[in-house]
Amino acid sequence: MRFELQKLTLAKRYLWSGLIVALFPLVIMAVLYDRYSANLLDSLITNKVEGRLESVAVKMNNFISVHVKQLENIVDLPDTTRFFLDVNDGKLSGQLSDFLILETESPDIYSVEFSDTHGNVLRTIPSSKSRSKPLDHATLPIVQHKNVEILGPVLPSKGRPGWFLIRMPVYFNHEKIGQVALRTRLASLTEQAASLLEPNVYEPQVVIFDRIHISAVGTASFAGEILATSRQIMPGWRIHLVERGGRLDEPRVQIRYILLLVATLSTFGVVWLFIRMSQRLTSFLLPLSEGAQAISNGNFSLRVSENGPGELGILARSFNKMSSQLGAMIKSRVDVERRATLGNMAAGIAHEVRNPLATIVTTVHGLSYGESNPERQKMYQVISDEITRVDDTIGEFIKYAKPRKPSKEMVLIRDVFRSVRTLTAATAHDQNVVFNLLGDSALEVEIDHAHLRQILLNLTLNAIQALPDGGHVTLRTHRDGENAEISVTDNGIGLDNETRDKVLRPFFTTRVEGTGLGLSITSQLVEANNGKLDIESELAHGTTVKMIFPIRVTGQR
Amino acid sequence: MLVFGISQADEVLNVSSEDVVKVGCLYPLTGPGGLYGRDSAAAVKLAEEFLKFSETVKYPKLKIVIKDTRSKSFRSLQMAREFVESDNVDFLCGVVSSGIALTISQLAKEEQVFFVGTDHASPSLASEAWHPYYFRVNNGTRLSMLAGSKYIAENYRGRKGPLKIAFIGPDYDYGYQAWDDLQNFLKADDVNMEVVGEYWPKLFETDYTTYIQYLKNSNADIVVNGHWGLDLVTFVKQAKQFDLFKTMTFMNFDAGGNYEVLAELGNDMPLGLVLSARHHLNWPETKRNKNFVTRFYEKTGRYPSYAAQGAYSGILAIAEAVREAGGVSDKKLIRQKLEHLRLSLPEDPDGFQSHMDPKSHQMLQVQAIGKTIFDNRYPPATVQLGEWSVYYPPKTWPTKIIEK
Repeated sequence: MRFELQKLTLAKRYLWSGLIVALFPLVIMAVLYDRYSANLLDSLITNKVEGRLESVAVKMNNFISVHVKQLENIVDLPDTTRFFLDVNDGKLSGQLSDFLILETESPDIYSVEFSDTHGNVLRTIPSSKSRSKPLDHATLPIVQHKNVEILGPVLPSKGRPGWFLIRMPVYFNHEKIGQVALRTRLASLTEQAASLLEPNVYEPQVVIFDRIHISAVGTASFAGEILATSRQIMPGWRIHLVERGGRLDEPRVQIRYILLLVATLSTFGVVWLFIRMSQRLTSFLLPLSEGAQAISNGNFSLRVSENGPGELGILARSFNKMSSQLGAMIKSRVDVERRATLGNMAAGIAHEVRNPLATIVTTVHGLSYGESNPERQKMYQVISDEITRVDDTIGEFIKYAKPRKPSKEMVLIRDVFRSVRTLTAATAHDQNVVFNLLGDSALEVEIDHAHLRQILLNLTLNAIQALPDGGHVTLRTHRDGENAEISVTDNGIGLDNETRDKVLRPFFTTRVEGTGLGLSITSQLVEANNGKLDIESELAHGTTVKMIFPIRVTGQR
Repeated sequence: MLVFGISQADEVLNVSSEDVVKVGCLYPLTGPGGLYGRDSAAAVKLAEEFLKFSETVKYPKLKIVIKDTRSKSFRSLQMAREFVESDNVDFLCGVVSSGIALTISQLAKEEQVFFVGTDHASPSLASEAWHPYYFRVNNGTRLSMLAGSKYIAENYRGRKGPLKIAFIGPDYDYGYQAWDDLQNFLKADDVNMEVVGEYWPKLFETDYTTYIQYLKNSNADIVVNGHWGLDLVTFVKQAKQFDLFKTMTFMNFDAGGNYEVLAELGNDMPLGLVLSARHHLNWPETKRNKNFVTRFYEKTGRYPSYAAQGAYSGILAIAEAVREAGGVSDKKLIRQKLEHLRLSLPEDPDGFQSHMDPKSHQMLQVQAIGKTIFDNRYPPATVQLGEWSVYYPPKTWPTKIIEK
């Protein structure tokens, strides 16, 4: 395990730690909240359902009470008593008949029935053949509710709706002489519970003596798991909330599950995000690590991608800059040390070689003056020339090793161009080379005059030497912002890439008689005058050496 | 000419000084079903116009009084009594609700006054509550259900397993009779069916949502609806909200295609419902029907519900019977003339005349059943019926009732 941990990058370790720290309380909170909300929901739902059941039970009681009152009004009419005393030969008085028609205009009441003490129906208002049967009230369930009897219910059948009777006896001199009943629409009672219906979850039922089950629309229903029960509306009559494919609290439970699902998805989302972040961070940090490794191996040329976001991008850019500067600094340091060594060596050579050479030359001159033999005089001359050539080479070497500090002044480039052309005119003419001087004739640059002349002279001579069969050498200058650009171009033999990369190294030469120091010194002089030198060349097409110098080094005009 | 004075909402039409036929009409001009009454009143005026300007036949003069019953049973009975006892009318006419019509018919029977029904449709009035003085000039639910049964038989016979039918209709005589008749005719037509639900919401109910839930749970193939007027409008609006029409085919053979319903629902009326009515604006495409619809529109600024054509027929029926009987003195003769009455009415297709069944006193008429299709020729309705199935009536009115 420890080994596995050690394999993790720091970024991954931080991210995984962060993830655990973030998720642990989240999971604990989710569990606690879920338990709390579940208990709260149970409590709320139970209270709410019981409250609604109670409310519906009260509404049903009121419904019955209203019709009991209506029935009392009919029973208490003198004409009702007269009807049972058979005063009008079994006919209802016109007034009573009209009153009953008015009472039955309510859609809750189908009819008013007058029956004898045995329950045999004598008259029905309004009369209707479709309601004439069944009238055998003796078979109906009966309960006593306060001062009335509730008969029924009769469930819907054969294309007729269900009903029940609210019946009240009629007394005369304390003797029961008949009964009046309201044939009441069953659905008018059950519809009071319609608000409790939750389709496909549970349905309210009016249940009578646990045997008869009636739906909210007054149709026969079937028993099921009872989720809640109201108090009695009338003796034996209750409202049940019956399960129908779902739990009582299902809609709320669904919301709870959805919340839990969202929390789980969020957790997975956070984990995924952390993994992605870890991978991405690693993809940016790993190249930096490899870059550092490369630097430790002395490779300063490796560059890392700078496309990282935010600080990572800044870090990559800083790393590249550091790598570049470190490389330049080490190169510069090596160069300085090399030159210091060369300088010491040059001083030694100057002292140990040039002085004896001077003595030798003087001696040879002395001998040549005293020599009459022309053959020997010629040999002395050859010795003298060779010693002079060696001295020149040593002079070049000393220049490279211990260059003179530039003494800058404003120099009209055009003048230097012309001077170089004059100096090289004879050589150019011999090799059939044509000079072109182009560019801004008024352009001046702050530079060491002698250095510039030597730079251009070296480059021009190199260019002429690159034109063995003649050609064109072009010196060109123009202003580029705060800089002056000077180029020397020939259309000669050109350089291959390998040669081009080496030509600035000291002692590198392609000519037998060359010292290999001309371009090195040129490059050194350009740098000493704050310039930059660049060589573009193509084999068989020619070479352009381009230099850029700041017009003003001091910033003053 | 209009005379006012009976009550604020009552109307007296065309008074003639000598030998007038007195007609007392009962319609709800306000409250539930008020549009039926107002359309009926307008159609009564159209009928009067027709009689007055008839060039070929001279009709007797009519004094027609319309009273606003407000769809109340006892109020209707009192007004009918006033007509009989105070105004000595020769004819009672109208009545939208079958429940109220049963009460009025009972009075007509007791008082031996003709009662010409123009709108209510329960078969009870022409069967168990029949009496010699009751005649009905509009198609009753029995003929609507006969046509509906044939439509179902034609479209569903031969399917595998029983056809599951649920019924929902208003909880009163009209609804019971319609459902009885449809079941009996389906049995007679040998349709293999299973009744999966019967529901009886109150007349003028405003919330059908609980019933719609139970209907949806019934898994019926067809739901036959027996509602009319605003009850039907409310039901369709709520059923559409609960996607009832996507799960089962909705049919209403008696009043579903009434223009009033189509106009009231407008864009809320779903397409593809199977409906019918006792009169249609766009069927039959006869000159007589077009004239009736156009004339009604010119008079009222709206298109007629089927109640208008019923009232129009009632007045024409009374005028024709009295004309043929030569006056109102001989009730027996008037009854005979009514029993053999033949009329050419707007709802009659070419080559057919509405005619009275002498035994039941029920007018026999053609019933056209259609499906709701887009048709905005009769605004504000945007839907009319089309794809018609037309059913001619039997030779005699089917009186046999299977005992419940």
